[in-house]
Amino acid sequence: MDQMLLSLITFLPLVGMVIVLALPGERHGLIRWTAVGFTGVVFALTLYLWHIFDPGSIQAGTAYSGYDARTLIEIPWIKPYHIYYRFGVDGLSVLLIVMTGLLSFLATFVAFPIEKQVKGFFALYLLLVTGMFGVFMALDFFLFYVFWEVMLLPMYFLIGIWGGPRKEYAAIKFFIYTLLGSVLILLVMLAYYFKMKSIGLEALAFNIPELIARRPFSVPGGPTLFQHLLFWGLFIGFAIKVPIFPFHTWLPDAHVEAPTAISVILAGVLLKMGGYGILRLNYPLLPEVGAHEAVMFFLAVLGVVNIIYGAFCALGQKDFKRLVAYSSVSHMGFVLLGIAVLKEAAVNGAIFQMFAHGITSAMMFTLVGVLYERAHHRDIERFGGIALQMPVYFALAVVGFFASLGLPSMVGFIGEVMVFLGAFTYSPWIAGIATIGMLLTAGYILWTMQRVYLGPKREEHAGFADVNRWEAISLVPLAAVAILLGVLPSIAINIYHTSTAVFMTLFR
Amino acid sequence: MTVNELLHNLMATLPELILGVGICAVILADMLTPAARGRQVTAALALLAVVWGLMLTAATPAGTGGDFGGMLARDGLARVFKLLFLTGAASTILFSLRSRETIGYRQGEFHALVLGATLGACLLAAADNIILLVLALETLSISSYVLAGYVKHERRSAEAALKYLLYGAVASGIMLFGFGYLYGMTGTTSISTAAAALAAGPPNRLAFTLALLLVLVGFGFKMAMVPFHFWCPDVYQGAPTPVTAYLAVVSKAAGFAALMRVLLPVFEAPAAFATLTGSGQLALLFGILAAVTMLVGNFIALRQTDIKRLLAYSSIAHAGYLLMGFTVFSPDAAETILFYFVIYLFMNLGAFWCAIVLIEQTGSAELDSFRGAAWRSPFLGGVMFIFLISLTGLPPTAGFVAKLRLFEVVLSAGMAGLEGGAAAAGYAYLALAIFGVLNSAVSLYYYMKIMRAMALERPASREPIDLNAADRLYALLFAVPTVALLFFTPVLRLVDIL
Repeated sequence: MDQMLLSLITFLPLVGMVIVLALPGERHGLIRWTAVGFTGVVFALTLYLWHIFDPGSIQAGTAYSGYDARTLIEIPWIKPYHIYYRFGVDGLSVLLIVMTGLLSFLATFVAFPIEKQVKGFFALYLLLVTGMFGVFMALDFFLFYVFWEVMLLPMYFLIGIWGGPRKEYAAIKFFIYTLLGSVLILLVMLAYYFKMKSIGLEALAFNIPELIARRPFSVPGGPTLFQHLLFWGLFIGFAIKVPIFPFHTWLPDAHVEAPTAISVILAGVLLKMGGYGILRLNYPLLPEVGAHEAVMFFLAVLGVVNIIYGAFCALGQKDFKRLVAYSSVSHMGFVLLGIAVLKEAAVNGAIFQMFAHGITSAMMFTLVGVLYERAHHRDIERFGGIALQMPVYFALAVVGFFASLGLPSMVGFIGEVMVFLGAFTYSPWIAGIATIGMLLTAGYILWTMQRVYLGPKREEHAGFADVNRWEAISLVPLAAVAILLGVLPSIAINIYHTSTAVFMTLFR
Repeated sequence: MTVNELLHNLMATLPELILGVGICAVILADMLTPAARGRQVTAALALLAVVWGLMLTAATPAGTGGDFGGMLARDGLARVFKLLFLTGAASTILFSLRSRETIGYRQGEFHALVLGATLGACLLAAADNIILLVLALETLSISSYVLAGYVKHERRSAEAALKYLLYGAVASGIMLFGFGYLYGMTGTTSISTAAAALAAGPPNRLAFTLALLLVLVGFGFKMAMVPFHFWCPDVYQGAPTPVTAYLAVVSKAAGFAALMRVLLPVFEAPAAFATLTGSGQLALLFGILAAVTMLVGNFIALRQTDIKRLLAYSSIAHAGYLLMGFTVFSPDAAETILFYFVIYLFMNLGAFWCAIVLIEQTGSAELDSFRGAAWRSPFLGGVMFIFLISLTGLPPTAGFVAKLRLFEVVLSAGMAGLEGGAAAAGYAYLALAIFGVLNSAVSLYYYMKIMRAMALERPASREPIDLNAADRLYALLFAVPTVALLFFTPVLRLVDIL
């Protein structure tokens, strides 16, 4: 059973898609509840995975150290090329898988108001879920790449069909940007294949843990030009997804035009894939480049630029959703900064920040969506006094916004502090400048809350009902997690810190 | 030649003979059946001939049968290309039944011409003699000219045929001139003998390069390679859609088959021709041609609004990708090109099939008239999407694997160059691969333009598009391989010719 667990988590949504496709198109309720059912079962399975996960079960010293032995699965797929169906998880993947399970389950409720082509929506949505899980589990480079692309295809339609006024533009922009990134990853994959072939290790050419253990391009005496090329190829590929300045321009468009549920998934899960790729492939495959003085400095600075630039952009937005989108750019800057400085505390912080951002951004997008459902616009200036009109909603919004702001005892705080601790030992200057980002974050969040929620009640909002059942179902668990993990972060850290330790050994 | 030898030789060309008999049978049947039923009867006869030939070819392993005194090659290259041509021809005949564009003209001639063109293509793939090669190429070309102008009262179709004819005639003339040089250098019309002679005593390299360039004009015309592609969009747009599909798959593949036939000795034993291919100059030439062809095809395709023109430029771009395979002279590269063609056949014919259905249903080839078609028939939208992402080269489709293998060949040459001390060549290969990959990313935009019209935009009408069981079956015949060949072991065995 345990060996099937990962495959089950990945492919159950696909089964769900087939069932949804077989249902009659006008039975909207049935289709929605089928999607809820499948993502719910999958979420339960991810929790079970969390429960049984044992990072120490594979002996240290093998290529698979850090991965869970019971759930590891390896079946030959395309034999002439030694491509395997190889799924395995370490702490980092488990954390993100559980987050994906939670968000994909809750986002189905967020998608309840969708009335247009319900069947198509949920079919594509379930396909997307499969692609996401596959990326976090694949330990075969080829398989990873296939899932990486599989997740793109439904996203194009989900934005392009169910999106806002500029949906076509946003959809194709997202698609082409991400594809450009992924073809770079593809080229790097091929380079590894040939290298392994030329040194007679063709059988391991796509095996990610073995590639990391052997690092075929490593030569004594520091990184070569070719290693730099490989590193930056992977980095740009993943950076587009994160997104890292200056590759972020697809994000505001895609997030704003996408329907709320898809914005939740985009911000909550898809951005994490970039960070995951950097931690799973980019740095481990080429640690010499990552630990190179100039590269460390450059990426740390880039992280800070992301934090500050994103925050400034968010300050300037009039569109509520665009503001949240730019806050993602800012928050993901912490992830880059945490990874770039290569201190154990900072890397732990970066991973925690990925999780935290998954929760808070999902919450913020849902909150914006709730308001949009009622007002049919997102102009911050035209809101005001919502707190009095919708008290329950306001209470949830307070949790979401303060968690995003990084208030102590909330989930956003932990990641940022851990990143700062690490970054400070690397360079007090960089850490110091990054703290400006925190101030700016507080600035735009408080200012937004003031403009949207506070102030006297307004006439035009009189008809706004408070959160309904489905909205509450999607928001309350997120709020609970945001507080719980803010108070007890060790719940999450315990699951992945050994993986971070394994990661750090690469840089000794 | 004794009677026995003659029979032995004839048996080897049985598929071609069947096509020849098929032509006569189709013409006779066309005269004898009433006009109302001529379409079905002649199509059935033509299909019978093609499928019979296909089965015979499939059942005959490479290397068996006579060779007409060295005129015909019986190798795997010929066999794979024949299989491709015959499959393409069978699809074209089926397409012509679905399309109403050719109704009102005598169908017997249409099917006879398709058989004639296919006969030429099959002989071309097997020709090991310059004269036979030219004859076969002309058989294919002349039949294609007529097919392109088949709807003779349609201005566009007539214009397409004339354009095609003029370009084709000039290209053939130049090609013949090149063959003249080749004959002058070697004193033989046999390609394999000429190759052996060239390898044994290399002639002046300038003369050889000139001959090759001139020959390449003729082949490049068929392949729709830049700068010999100008006919392509107009002809694709003007010709009846089934003919367009034929030109995009069979005729293009025939051009590549001829080029591969001429260069096969080099692919087989690159070392023997080292003095002629120079220190990478020939590879550089093909590299530049590949890059330019991709670039032109992809970038002009971005602006097309007519699906037939769009697919025309897309086919130019694919010629560019395929030419990348010619920068690496190794058996592996030859097989990769064949492999790409097998996949290309399915995905491109599939896309054309969807295009035909769309044009039939909406009465126009403009993308704008396809608005919302994916909602009017989700099945059609779904299969079209599969073909388009396969043409782009995205997983999980076979188009991904096909492109992957091409890039792989180029990259491995690059890595070998870098490690073997030829850094400049190595980086040139890497640059070509990166260029090709970026081009694929660009192509996504125009392929998705079709999808955008079909799925994203407000429907032009709500009326469902009716597809009958046969329509669905055809679509699946192309769609299933386009997805399933991702697991490509059987195709690998098929193209394992060297």
